[in-house]
Amino acid sequence: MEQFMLIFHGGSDDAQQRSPEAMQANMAKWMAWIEKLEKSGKYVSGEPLLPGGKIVSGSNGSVVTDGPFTEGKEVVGGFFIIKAKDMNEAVAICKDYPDFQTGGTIQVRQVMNVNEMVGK
Amino acid sequence: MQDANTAKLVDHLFRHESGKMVAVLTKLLGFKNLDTAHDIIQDTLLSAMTLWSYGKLPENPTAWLYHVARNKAIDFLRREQARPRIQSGFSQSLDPIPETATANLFLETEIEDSVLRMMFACCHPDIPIESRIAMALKTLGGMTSREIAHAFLTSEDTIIKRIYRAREKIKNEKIPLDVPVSGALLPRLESVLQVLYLLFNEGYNSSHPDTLIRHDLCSEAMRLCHLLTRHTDTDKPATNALMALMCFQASRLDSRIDQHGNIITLKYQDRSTWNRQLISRGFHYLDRAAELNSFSLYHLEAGIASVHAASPSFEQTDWKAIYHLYEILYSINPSPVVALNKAIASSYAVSAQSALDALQNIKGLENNHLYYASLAEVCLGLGKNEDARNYFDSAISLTDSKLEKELLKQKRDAVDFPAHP
Repeated sequence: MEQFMLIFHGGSDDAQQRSPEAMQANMAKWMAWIEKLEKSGKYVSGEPLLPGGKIVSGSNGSVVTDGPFTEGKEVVGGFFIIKAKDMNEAVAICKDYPDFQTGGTIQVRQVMNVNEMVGK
Repeated sequence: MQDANTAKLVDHLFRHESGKMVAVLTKLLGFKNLDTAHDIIQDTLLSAMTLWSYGKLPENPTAWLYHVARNKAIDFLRREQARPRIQSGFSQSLDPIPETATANLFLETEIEDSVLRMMFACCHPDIPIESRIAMALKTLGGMTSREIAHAFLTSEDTIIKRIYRAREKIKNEKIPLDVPVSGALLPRLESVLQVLYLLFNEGYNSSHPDTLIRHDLCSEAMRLCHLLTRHTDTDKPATNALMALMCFQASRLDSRIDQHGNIITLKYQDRSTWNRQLISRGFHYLDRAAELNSFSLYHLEAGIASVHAASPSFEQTDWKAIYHLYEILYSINPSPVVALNKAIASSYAVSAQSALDALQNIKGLENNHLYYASLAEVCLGLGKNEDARNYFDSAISLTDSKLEKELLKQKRDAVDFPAHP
């Protein structure tokens, strides 16, 4: 089993206008998704992120700018770490992501497997 | 673990808690800050949605919401206090926000009290009835303007205007967020009950093309009415009678639609599917409504509903009792709709001919599909098939509900080939 990071971008286009009922419904979909992944032993961890943040750059990290992004669709809302056999399975897992309809996208990245590198 | 989490989230938790929180925060912040209260709650729910989505559900979700909303409200009050000080250059120290004002903010009793106050303000008799309903659903029911517009088959703009008018009225007339006392209570309570009654009716027989029953509207009306029965000041006979009426009607909600979504009329409903618990609650409230010298239209309507609820079958229904209750109801409220129901009852209690005569004398229902449907049924009973078909056609053209159209078409097509002899 390999590990993958699912990075969630955007997906909160209409968040401010959502009704309490719609918010709860969206939440229930997320919970069901995590539940399904946990039951099949594929869920490792996940965290939501607050909007806003800083970008640190320059020599010695002396340049600090607001960021990372201003556009809603670029903002990372959170991430999961999941287990999957390969990239295909990781992508298939994304099908249950509840926020596609509200403009969300997922970046799927494989975590480098150190053991494999050294041939264990 | 996650299963337990999901179970902790009851249906409509966000909607119901948002209604309660709006009432509590508006009482704390003042009616002029109603928008702020709504914003604070929207923020609170958004945070909850994000965190809880990732499996970070707190032990007590409701308490978490209250806690976060309360902190946001305190922040707002601090900023409000700081503002005039900066503008006028005062140097004296800030008044601390009195701990007592916010510490008990979300005690159960305090919530109920706030919701009641808000209910009386939103349902003030000086506010037009449609605005009262919209305002009550928005502030107490936690529904958005779009959801309300959807439920009432009107545009979001219209609902926003109605709510705006209600709010301006409350602000301009300085209607206090109070439960009225002594002499002022009864007329004000009447206005509250009227809103709940209309709300329930819209849910019970929705004008919506696709959904005949709007469970959310019915349950909102029942939830708020139940609250009124729990409060000493508002626990009046009429309140209990209305509650009884809603319990009896709600007991049949699930039996009115078959598995394909088609309407089943009273006559053909499987009475074993009626909700016995709601029926017994109905009788419980009807008992509580019985008090010397107190009588309301709700008593009569609840009485009629109780006869249906108690009948083992359509054929065994005590139509004479129902007809009699409609006669009293008509003498107090001679509206065409009551006349229509009275006429229908008379077709079973007296004769089809008397029902036809009564129906043909009703004025003011020329655009009502139920009126023509009833005429059709009665004509059918009298063997006037040609008339029945024409009346069914009029009824079909007058309803917007697809389900009702479907049912009426079936009945029209069955005029000459009765499926149920």
